[in-house]
Amino acid sequence: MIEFIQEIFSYRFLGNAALAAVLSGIACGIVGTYIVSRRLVFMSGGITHASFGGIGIAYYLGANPLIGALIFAVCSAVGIEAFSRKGRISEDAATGVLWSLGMSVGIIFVFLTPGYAPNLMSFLFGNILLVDSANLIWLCVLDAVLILLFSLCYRAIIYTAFDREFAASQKLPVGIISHLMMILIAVTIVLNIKTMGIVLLMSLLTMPVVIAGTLTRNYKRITVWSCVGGASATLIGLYVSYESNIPSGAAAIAALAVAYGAIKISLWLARKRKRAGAISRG
Amino acid sequence: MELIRIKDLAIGYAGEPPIVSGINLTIDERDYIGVIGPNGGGKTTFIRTLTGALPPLAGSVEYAKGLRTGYLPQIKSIDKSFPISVTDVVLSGLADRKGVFGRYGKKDKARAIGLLHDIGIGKLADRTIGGLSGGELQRVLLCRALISDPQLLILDEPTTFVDNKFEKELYELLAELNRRMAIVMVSHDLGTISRHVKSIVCINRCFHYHPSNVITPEQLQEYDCPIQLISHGPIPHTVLSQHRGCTCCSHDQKQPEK
Repeated sequence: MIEFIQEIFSYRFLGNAALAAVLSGIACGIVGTYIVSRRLVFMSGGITHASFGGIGIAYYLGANPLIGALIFAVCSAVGIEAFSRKGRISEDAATGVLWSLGMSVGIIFVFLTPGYAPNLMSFLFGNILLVDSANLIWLCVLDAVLILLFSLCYRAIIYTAFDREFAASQKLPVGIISHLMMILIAVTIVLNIKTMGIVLLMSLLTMPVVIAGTLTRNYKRITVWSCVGGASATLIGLYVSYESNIPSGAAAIAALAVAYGAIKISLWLARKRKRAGAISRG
Repeated sequence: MELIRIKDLAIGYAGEPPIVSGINLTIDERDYIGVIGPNGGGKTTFIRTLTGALPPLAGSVEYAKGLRTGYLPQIKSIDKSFPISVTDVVLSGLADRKGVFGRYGKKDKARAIGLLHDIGIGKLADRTIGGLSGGELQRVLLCRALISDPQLLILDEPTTFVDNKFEKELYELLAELNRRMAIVMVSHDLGTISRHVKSIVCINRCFHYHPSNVITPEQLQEYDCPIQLISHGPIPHTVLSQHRGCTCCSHDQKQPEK
């Protein structure tokens, strides 16, 4: 453990990875709380997978895969909202279509690209050790934007999320707020693909929030605890992968699952003891 | 003083034919308007247009300068699993005044809690809305509508999911509030509403304004708005039949059933 901490400060790639773990945890904590509270989990899964289409096309064209992913993610986020608002297709059907369509476009273009695509696995399952400085800067900017936005407009955002109709009657700019949040969800997803991978990212967005939700029902506290939980889990994942060569993303999610189980069991034991105490006293 | 003037308004969703058109109505101070009509007739669409959640398809809704409105939406639109406290829900009624970057201070919080006490649910102030009963949640939403001290209170079916006791209290409270604010209330409960409101709007794919609260069938015949009162099992039911003698309904009749 001590050796690991020393190496974080002596090896640049490990330091980058640790920083990315913390920044990812914070971004996913803030956006995840919004997603879970607004019940946008399935939709976010759709956006995540649809972005693979952009990665495939970018590979084929020799462009930066993250730019391709970003275009696909933002378009599908705005697209799902627009589709379902028109009412012709339900939101979950639109999500289902974009989910698999994005994946198939990605696979087609990856196979059309001559030669072997070595980084494909790292896009699907993430590799936190491959995070470069440019990616870190973008993650930093994203975290700063999210923290600033939520500290300035916290109430406007959650009031719009809670009851859009009422927020509109209070003349809050509900259209701008919900579109901005959709775009931020898409950007958060794309920037975290490198750390967690497309397949595993949904867990980092939802599990810390679910865990925090068992401890408190206050939105602000859920957000803070999700950030702490997400960041620690990704750090633990990095440590486990450093020690045992298990992919860090999978290890992080395993850590979250263990934490959830432990909290549930201790809450259950605490309740049982309380009840037993009440009976013996009573 | 006029609070809202509605001119030749058509309501509905963009890209679709209007649900109701040709609405003309003026809402004055101290008005107490009951909005009745069958499901799917356009009542909620009208309310949503009135609150500004839905843009008009045609015509205009003019608001008095600086008009403060309080809105109580249908309770089924509320997601009870959302992690938000009762006090924070009530405070959201100040969003109009506070704007996007607004800060909510101790004074605002004290006001919210005071209002909750007035309405008899002060002890719920710190709870999250998840554990509330339908009646309790309805009271919270009423506090949210009242915290901005509105000039116009808009209620969309405020008596669903509440017990008789609260219903009675609510109507008493509304009568008292009507001394300082106008009220527009949507209700299914035709029998009860007529005892409290001053005038009635009937929306059933068309729009009729009745400047009195009398809705006995005989009286309404005169306004071309026959209403049938029928009993359906143990639950008293009110059903509105088609308006005869008005152009909008006869036009409706020719259209094939959807």
